[in-house]
Amino acid sequence: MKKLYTMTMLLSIMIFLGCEKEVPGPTVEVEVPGPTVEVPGPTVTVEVPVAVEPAVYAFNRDGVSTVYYSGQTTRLNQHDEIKGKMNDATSTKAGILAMFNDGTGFTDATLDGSKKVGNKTATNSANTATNLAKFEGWITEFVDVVAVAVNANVDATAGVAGSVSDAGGGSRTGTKVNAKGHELNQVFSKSLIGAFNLDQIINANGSFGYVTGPKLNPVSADNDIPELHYTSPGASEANVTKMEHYWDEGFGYLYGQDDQLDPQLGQGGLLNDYLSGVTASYNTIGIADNIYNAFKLGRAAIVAKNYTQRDAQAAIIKVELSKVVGAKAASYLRSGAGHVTNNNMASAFHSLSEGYGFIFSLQFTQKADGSPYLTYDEVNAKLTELDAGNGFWDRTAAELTAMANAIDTATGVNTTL
Amino acid sequence: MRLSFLNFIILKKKIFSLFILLFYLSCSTDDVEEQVPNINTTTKPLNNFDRQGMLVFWADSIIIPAHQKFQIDLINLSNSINDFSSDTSASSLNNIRENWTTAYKSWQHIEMFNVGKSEEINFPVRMNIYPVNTQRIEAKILNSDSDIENPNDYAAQGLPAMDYLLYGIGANNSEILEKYTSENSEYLSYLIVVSNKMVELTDLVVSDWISSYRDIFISSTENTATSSINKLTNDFIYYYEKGFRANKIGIPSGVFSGNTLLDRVEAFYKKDMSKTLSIEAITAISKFFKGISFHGNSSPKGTSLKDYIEFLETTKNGTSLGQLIIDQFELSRTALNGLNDDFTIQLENNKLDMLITYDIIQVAVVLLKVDMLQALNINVDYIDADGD
Repeated sequence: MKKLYTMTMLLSIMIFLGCEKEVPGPTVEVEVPGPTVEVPGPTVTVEVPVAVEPAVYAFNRDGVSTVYYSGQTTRLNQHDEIKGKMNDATSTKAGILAMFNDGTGFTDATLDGSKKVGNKTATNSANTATNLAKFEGWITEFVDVVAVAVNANVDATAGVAGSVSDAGGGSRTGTKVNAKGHELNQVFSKSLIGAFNLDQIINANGSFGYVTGPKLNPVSADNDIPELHYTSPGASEANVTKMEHYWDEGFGYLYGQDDQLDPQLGQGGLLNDYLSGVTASYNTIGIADNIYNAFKLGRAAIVAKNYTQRDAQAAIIKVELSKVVGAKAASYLRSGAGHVTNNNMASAFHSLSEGYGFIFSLQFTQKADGSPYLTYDEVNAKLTELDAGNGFWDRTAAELTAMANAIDTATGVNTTL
Repeated sequence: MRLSFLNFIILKKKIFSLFILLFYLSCSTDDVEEQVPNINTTTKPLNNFDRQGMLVFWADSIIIPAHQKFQIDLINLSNSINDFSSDTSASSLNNIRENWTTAYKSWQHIEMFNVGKSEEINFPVRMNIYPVNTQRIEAKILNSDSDIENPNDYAAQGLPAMDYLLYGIGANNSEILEKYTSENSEYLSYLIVVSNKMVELTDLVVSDWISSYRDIFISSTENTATSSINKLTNDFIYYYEKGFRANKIGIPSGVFSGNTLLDRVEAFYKKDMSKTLSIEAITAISKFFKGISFHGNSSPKGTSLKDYIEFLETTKNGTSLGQLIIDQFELSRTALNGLNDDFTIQLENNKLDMLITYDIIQVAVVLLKVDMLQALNINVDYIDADGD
């Protein structure tokens, strides 16, 4: 009888284990707790005030707002128009270069003036000249090669620039590509996300980004007084310190097309646009709140003259904002792989061109230790892999997925979620 | 729920019943977990619903009749083009235009059903890609090129191409007519090429449904990625999100691009038909969801997705999900009705109302794509359309 009991019990347990079905749970929103900021206790007689994070990004002096960043807004808007022109087969090379390098010739004449995107591209990181030359190369190739082929109604094939459309049930048609399947306005624009948008905010290896120590520390003495140097739009005389304004310019590069007090995200075509999706996806849920909060608290710390607290917030901004680039570099390779499998080559080239630009941007990111996810050399090695043979025409879904996995390993973002 | 070894030994007389209990608990076919904050669904098994009945209703009362109506409309269109070729008058041109309008409205009732032969031949993409690539059409006309099989030519054929050929090739009616009255008019040749291709493709789809696909479709009642219910439900949602929401409203309004794109409006060259087509689309969407037959207004009724999620007693924040979706469709219709017949005029005068309409339409995307699919235990099978 004992044997019967044992056998029956074992059998039951086997069935129990065998029949158990896991129903995957639904996605649950998880609140990511904010980082702990440690302010060292005072060991000298002078106490450094600890700033409190305000509810919104609003800062006044004598009742007037000290926050403005019109130059950043202008450049973000300039990018959007240039990106459109980079997909317009009637554009001229001189026209696009004038917009990019000289800040002139925009269809929206309010964008003409002293602000330019070109002279703020790749300036805060190593290899400025060779990187900047790539942008001009893409402009040239689009006008001289791709637009010419498109206007001649050439059908793109491996090794031949022209138009390509989805044949596998996808609905993307008339995508303009070079011989390797690059949709150049996407490569151009997504590369600017790192080289221009992110670089201007967080890097300091050349010129100095707006939330970096080398940019802000030299004006600490000024800020301590406080020496009022800039005049905000609502004021009649100087009312903003240099440090306050630099930090606001960093803020403006992210929120310059958005609502300062209540960011909506998804604006324009650069970091703000992609932050919207990334903050709701993968293992990066909630980073948008972390970033906005860090901007607020860092700016309050500047007013409180607490530079240690300011730098702790800057560190958060650098790491969290970099995740936008890290996430999209891998995720666009994954969606490209899906389109390749479905033989929707226009959609594939569109996604892969975006991925290509985001990979280019990886060299401008920062991890917590200040180093980028991938170095200049590592980035170029990946781009060379993507360009092998006839470039995107030759890439298999397996290759692309493997590359996406490698990028996830380098960034710590899990884009399979 | 493990029983300890000791209990098992002591209660030897109840081993059999315990065995059965353990078996039942571990092999339960409950599909839905109730750990979602605000979605509640019964634990009724999905398969207790008449899945095949729903498929039969879909095929026989909606899909096939709607395709047949469209097929008839295209024949009328083709005949009127034929008449026009021997009498290139303004009134004949008008007949073509009327028939094209009728066909375009009928098309709104079938664009969402991208299964079977339709999927195989890329039917929706060959019938209704817009904006038209006018450069491509003009090049083909210039070169007397009648080959439109290349995917790059998908934007040079179908209903939008005809929109251009009937309304866009001249600044006014007499200029348009002129292009057709010349000897051996290449425009007329191309018009016939476009019409013939639409008829040919539609015939393929309809005969496939009638001769063999209908039976295959209705017998695929399982819950897998390639089964009929999963594919069709996915197609329905994809159409709502992309074909309806994005293509008709979102893209022209600049929701995805930041700039208003007037020339991305459906039936751009006729202009004042864009609202009509959107209303036709929400009607088709609504009827399909509610289970109203193609030829009916509120009846005859059959089982469809609304009935399925009611069977599953799915609620969101205390309200029936099916009702929430229907309400949102009605709000969308009301918002669309308030717009100008010509979306380009609406966008130029008051873009905000289009954006508000878009937001109202968007609400149902979440209800369908997240809440409904979860209740039905169906996975999304398409890659998110990139708004870039």
